[in-house]
Amino acid sequence: MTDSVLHMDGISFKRGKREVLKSIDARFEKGLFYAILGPNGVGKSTLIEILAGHLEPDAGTASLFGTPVDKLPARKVAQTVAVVAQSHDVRFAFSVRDVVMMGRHPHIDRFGSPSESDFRLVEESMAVADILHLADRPVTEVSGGERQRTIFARALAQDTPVLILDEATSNLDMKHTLSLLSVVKEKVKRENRCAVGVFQDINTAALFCDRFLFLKDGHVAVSGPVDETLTPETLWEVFGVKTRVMEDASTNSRQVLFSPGGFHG
Amino acid sequence: MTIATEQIRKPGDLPAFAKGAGGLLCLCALLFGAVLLSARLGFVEFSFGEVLTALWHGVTGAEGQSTAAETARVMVWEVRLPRILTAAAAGAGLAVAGAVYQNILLNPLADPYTLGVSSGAAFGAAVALLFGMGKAVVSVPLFAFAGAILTLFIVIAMASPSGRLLRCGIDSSNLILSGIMVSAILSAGLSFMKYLADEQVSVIIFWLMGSFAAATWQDAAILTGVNSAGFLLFLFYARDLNLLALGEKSARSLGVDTSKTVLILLVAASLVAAICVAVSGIIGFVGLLVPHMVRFVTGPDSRKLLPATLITGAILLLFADTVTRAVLPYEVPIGVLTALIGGPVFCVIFRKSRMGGGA
Repeated sequence: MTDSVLHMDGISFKRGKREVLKSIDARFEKGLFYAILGPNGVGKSTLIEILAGHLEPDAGTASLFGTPVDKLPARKVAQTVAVVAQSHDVRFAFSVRDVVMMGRHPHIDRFGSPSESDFRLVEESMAVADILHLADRPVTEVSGGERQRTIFARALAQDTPVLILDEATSNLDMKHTLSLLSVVKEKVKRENRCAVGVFQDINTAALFCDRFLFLKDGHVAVSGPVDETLTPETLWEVFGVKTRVMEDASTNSRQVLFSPGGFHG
Repeated sequence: MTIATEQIRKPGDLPAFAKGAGGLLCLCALLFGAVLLSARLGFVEFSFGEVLTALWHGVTGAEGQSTAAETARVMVWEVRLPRILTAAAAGAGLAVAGAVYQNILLNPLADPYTLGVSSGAAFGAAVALLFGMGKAVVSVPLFAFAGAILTLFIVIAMASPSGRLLRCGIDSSNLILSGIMVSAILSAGLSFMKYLADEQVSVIIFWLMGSFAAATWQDAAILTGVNSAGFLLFLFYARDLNLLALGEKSARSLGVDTSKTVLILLVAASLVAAICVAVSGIIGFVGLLVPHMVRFVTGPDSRKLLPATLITGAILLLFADTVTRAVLPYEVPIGVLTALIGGPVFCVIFRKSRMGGGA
């Protein structure tokens, strides 16, 4: 109970007339890495945005350490929750280092200057995201994947108890996906933080996450530990695909095998 | 993963405001020089010595010792200086307002003119002039401000995909297109008012083309006051402006109360632009070009960009006004001059940003 960091209580959200989320209940606890999975347009990103306080739900409350998110000042939320969103169209030529330093914004007073430790965190985050060699390049001139890693580094530099990943690795190559998610998992385990990620790739999620939360038609279809929830039955119910689920002994994780014709027409 | 701190902190990396202070001082010196030079030039030319003496007499309120000195004092202190200061303040205000619009609307092409805010302010001010309210000091600026704000919100509402008032990454071309459409409607409205105005038509026309010829000490004071207040507000929000330049969601997740901040900044920038228009008429492209030029040197960090933009805007508009006042054989309205120079440059920037790369 005391470990609950994020709490969603009867969250509903409408986009126009369409009810995207219908009375969602969920809790996210310290020391665990959560994956939110589901078909396109099921409201995964909407859920994430409500968690991060970017959207206000039509009904229900999302709380952060027991306080409703919309009652908290933006700065306070930013000291607690960092978000890595997907696709960033940057039109102003800030350097990669400047963008990562913006992650320290919620921790620095309005007219304060970055401290020694702020600079160190920024450099360390850039090292983790493998963008040190780009530090002085304008962020408008690096590739999409490199920009995504910059945003990732910014969120790491934000150094918050909660990290939210909205398909944060979907345009990264395998190597950087693995290394960044390893860092997230390590932070979750060693520093008792909480991470929530939206994933398209079930197998990537299965490698790193502890808990799965499957969304379907605006409801939580299935949720719980990966071993219990990642089954062919769940995947058929949620995605309408036929799969085989294997236990990979070497990584001690479940992996899903798909087949070309294995989808529900 | 420990990294030696010596590597991290580069020389002068710490106080963002202090960084580039040398450059800023140079700009200030340049502005001061431009003021002196501009005060020298004109129908009657003075030496720098005469100008300085005249300024001293003006400040101390003493009359000139000789007729020549008294002539110089009247020319410099009572005729030229109000105009010089008004032009500089208007240039500074328009440029800074442009920089703020560009960051908030994520759009390097935004400026009070291309957004239609100037036309809105002009329309408001013309209404005040037409109905004979021009005599009250506050009514023209007030109407200009109302016109500017109203236009701004109409343009943004037209351009934003979801119809939300505040932006969620409004497309460049949409925004400029809406600005042009609203401006077109407003200028038709203006033409109609000119038609109605009869005897007063010359007042409106002359004022619309943009001119500092009639600038008074009062104009200079109002402009300087409002613009300084606006500038301090923008500096206060400079770091938030940086974050906003990466998009509303990013800024929000980094702790900026976006809806409140964006609203405050948009209204303040429009107020600054509207006051400039109310005093001087429509002067286009200053707000677009100056932040662009300055960004090449300072980079996009608002903490460095805004002060440099302020001074550069002042210098450039003062320069343009001096050219039309003292160098050209006939006085070309300043708004016409800036549009003649700024328009083509705008085309180049637009073309470049279409080809990718942005600002």
